[in-house]
Amino acid sequence: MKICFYPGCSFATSAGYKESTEAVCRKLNIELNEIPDWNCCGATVMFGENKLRATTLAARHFALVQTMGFEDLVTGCNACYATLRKAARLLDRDRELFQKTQEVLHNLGLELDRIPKVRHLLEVLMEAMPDSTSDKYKTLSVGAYYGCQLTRPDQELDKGWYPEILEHFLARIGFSVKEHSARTQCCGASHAVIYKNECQGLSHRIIREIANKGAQVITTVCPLCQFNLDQAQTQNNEPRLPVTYFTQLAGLALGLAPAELGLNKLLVSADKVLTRP
Amino acid sequence: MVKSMSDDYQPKIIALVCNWCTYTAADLAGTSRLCYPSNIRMIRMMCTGMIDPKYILKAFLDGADGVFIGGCHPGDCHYINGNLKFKKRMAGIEAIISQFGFEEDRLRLRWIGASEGPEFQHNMTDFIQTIQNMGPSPAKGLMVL
Amino acid sequence: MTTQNKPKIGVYICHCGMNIAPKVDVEEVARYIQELDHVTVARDYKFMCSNPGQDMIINDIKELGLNRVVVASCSPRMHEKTFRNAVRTAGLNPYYFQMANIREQVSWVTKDSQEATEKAKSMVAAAVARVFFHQPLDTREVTVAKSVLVIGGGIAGMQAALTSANAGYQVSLVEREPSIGGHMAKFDKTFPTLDCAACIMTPKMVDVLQHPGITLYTWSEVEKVEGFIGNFEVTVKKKPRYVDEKKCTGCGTCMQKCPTKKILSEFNEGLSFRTAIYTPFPQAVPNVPVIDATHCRVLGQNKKCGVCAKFCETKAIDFDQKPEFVTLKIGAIITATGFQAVNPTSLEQYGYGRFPEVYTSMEFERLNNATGPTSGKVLMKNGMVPKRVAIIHCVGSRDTRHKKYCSRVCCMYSMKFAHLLREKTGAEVWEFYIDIRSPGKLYEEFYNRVQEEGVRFIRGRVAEITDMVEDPGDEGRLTVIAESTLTRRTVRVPVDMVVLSVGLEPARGSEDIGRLLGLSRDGDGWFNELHAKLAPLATPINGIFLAGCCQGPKDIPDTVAQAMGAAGEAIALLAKGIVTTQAEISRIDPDLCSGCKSCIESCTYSAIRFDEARKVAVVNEALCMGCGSCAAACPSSAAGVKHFTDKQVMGEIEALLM
Repeated sequence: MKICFYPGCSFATSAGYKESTEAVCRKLNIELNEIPDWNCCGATVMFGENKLRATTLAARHFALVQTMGFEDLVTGCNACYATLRKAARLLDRDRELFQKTQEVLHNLGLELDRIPKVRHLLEVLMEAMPDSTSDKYKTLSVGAYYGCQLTRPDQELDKGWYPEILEHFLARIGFSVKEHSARTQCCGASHAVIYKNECQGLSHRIIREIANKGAQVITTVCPLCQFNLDQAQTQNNEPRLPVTYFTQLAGLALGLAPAELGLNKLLVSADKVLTRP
Repeated sequence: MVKSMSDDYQPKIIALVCNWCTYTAADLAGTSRLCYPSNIRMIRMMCTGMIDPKYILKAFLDGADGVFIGGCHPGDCHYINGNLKFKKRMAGIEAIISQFGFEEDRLRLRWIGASEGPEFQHNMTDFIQTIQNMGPSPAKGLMVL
Repeated sequence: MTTQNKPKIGVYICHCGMNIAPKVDVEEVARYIQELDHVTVARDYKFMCSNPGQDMIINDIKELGLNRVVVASCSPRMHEKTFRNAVRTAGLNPYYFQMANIREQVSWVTKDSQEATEKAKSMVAAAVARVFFHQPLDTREVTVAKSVLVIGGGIAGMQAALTSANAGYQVSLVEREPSIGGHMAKFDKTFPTLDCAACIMTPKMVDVLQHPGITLYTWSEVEKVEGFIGNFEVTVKKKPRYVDEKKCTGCGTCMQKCPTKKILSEFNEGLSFRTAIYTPFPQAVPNVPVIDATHCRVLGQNKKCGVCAKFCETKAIDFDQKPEFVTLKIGAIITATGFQAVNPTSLEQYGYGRFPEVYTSMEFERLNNATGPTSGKVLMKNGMVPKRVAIIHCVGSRDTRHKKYCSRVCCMYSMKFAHLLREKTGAEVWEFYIDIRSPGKLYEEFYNRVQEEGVRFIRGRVAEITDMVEDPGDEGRLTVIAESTLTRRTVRVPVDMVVLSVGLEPARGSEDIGRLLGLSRDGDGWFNELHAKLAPLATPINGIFLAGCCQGPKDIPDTVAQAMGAAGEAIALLAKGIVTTQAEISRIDPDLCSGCKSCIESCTYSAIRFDEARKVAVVNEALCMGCGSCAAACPSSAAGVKHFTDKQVMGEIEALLM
């Protein structure tokens, strides 16, 4: 399988997302084709500033995807996923905006005729990962954390408030899952950088809930979620749960070594829970 | 012979309207004394759903410069969905009249509810203006036939 | 055309006092019309609708031998009937008449006098051209069966049945559940008077059962409806009860002995169990159980059991019962199929189905009811009395993602719950609302009373109900999170129990009943009334009326009033005893019909059938409403509406464009 991949600004520098994604894709024979010369998706900020600019920022990638000859665009970040989808939806509904965007892109030497389908890396792995045949991680109980943007506002992947796809996925690849009520609560997102103290509370709420319900490890599908939840625990001793990427758990399920998956980069070490008999 | 597009050109317009909504709206425009140009000639039908395409063609061939169809808003049809049945036929009718050389804009379908007297007035004025701008129907030139 | 009925047209131009005459030069119009072909006489007069005006027409018909009449005056919606009667009085068929509307369409809406006169001339000439093609038409009178069918045995259907039967008509009441009573039978108290629902309901149920004029068909469904106003032929399917109604004494031994005891009770909203042979509740009417064939060991699982039959002293159990079909001749139909409560599962943020202490309002009604699973004690699943309860308004209502409408009853029943909770448990009660809607007699007063009883009202839609804990002391409780829009603060309220005040939606199966009866439904699925203001109980199908929530959410007082009104409509129809069919209906010329069936497809009223022998379409005159869909759809011009024939309409068009 070949996919057209948009990494976004946090992918390469995050704690093992890149390593684990690449390792898992290699193992599963998925060819990651990174969009050349990609730019910032605009995140949530740009749409508040200027609709045309925000849309164009995202649509530049749509044009690049078209040049590369792909139908889909895959990203591993919830914010990129939500932003690109929002742009795609606006372009689809607003003929005038579409034409204006085309003009701007044309001046940049790019042509946009069709809007690609924006997909999350989770969807790709949900299709590609084989069912587990091992009991190795059956006793490792995982709390799945979705973040606020994966299923909202679209609800295309799953229900908006209380999604369950990640639990189904983790159970299928051999982990035990713990149900909890923090799955789509806000982690503080990019505000964690500027309003660090205020956002600590938001992240702690999530960690506490997942720990309360008896999980030993948290898994995330977004670089910012992972960073916020992991970083919040360096200030506070209790409870301490390793915060992994779903790709890292997928790698473990495929028998890859923790170091190969960048698990050593987590702030709260996962060594103990993963090496437990 | 084609008339000039001067201001004294008075288009002839046929309006086929449903008894329950648009005709009632026209009555209301009357009782509210809402004036509109006098070139409209209205024909009361029980429902837009009973309007045979040949009536529209007949009107154009007999020299109408425009034909207006007025029915109930979707969901308000006295006969449940006659208005929607007519709407379905619209595309076909437009195709027929354009084959005869009449521009599609000369035929207009609007939903005007029984209580919408001012909307009726506005629609009449606006349609007459549109037709006035378009000039005489091309059938005027064929009238020698 | 023979000389005998060679058209001789009389035309009358009305001044309508000062309404037409000064703007339109009526004398000029009369002079112009007088010169047209076939016009025998053209006159103008001050008030055509007055007695002298009408007499002028009648005399001319008699003396000048007129056989067609045109009156140019006001809208036909105003006086067409008046003039048709005048024409009829003179011995002419009333359809030899046409009106030109030169008041509403000319004198009142045209500024220039000359333009107005020209328009009037053209319109009167068109009326003359049209009336030339008119044909005599007849209406028919059909007798009405003196019987009423009521579909649905809730409070609306029961009341409609009682009122109709009290007027002396035979009523058939069809209810699909084993007992009549509907939703109201499940309620504990009713707002705002706090009457005990059972106390006012059960005597009515017995009245329905014992009324000599009412035949009760419970555990039955309407299978087929044919015919038309006054002459419906209705097939009712009696589902097998597996209990002989005539033999059963209602002793209840079978229910005590039935070994299959763990079936969730529908009546108690799944909060308690029932047996496989059961009556939904102890006061059921009729007091005859049914066997739930899915769960019964004998019927559903092919096992040996038959305990109920063994213990039944009157041998009423009959495992071999088959569905029975009854055909009824019916004059009028009252639809009272009611509502169902919205299932809040899809509003996942409220956790219904996930958190055991989140209840729907219907569940809470049962929890609160003396005949309910807890004998009327408000208890949590752990048996404890709740200390703090949240009631969430507008769940699924006034929300573009769910139901955009207001369900009208939720504010009031929510406040009823608050009152009962305060009274029974002393619990702290928090109501989360958008707006309080209490329009009704004594409703606002009830709101004030509940406020005084210490119930807390937070204005704001609840964002989330969660079991996530902020304070370790709240472990095991639920937290309601909302924005209080009055104080502009987020509030987090830990509670023991949550009641979701869910909205109303049309009852399951409304779509099927609508299809059977030919009723249309609005975007939300409620049945459409004929006119929102002036015909709220009638439907576009003559002889079929609406009562209660099937037309839209309403409370008990409105429902009962509407049911009595619908019965009144039915009684008026039955008392008159005859219906006159309209003359302007479709006709399909069998010589022109090619048998393509386009008309059958286009007909909304199923009024056209296909005659297989002659291979032509035939109109059922009693069902046809004269909408003309068939006429427009017919490719061979075989179908046409009487009084709107091609010749008539095209004659009018031609004259208007002269």
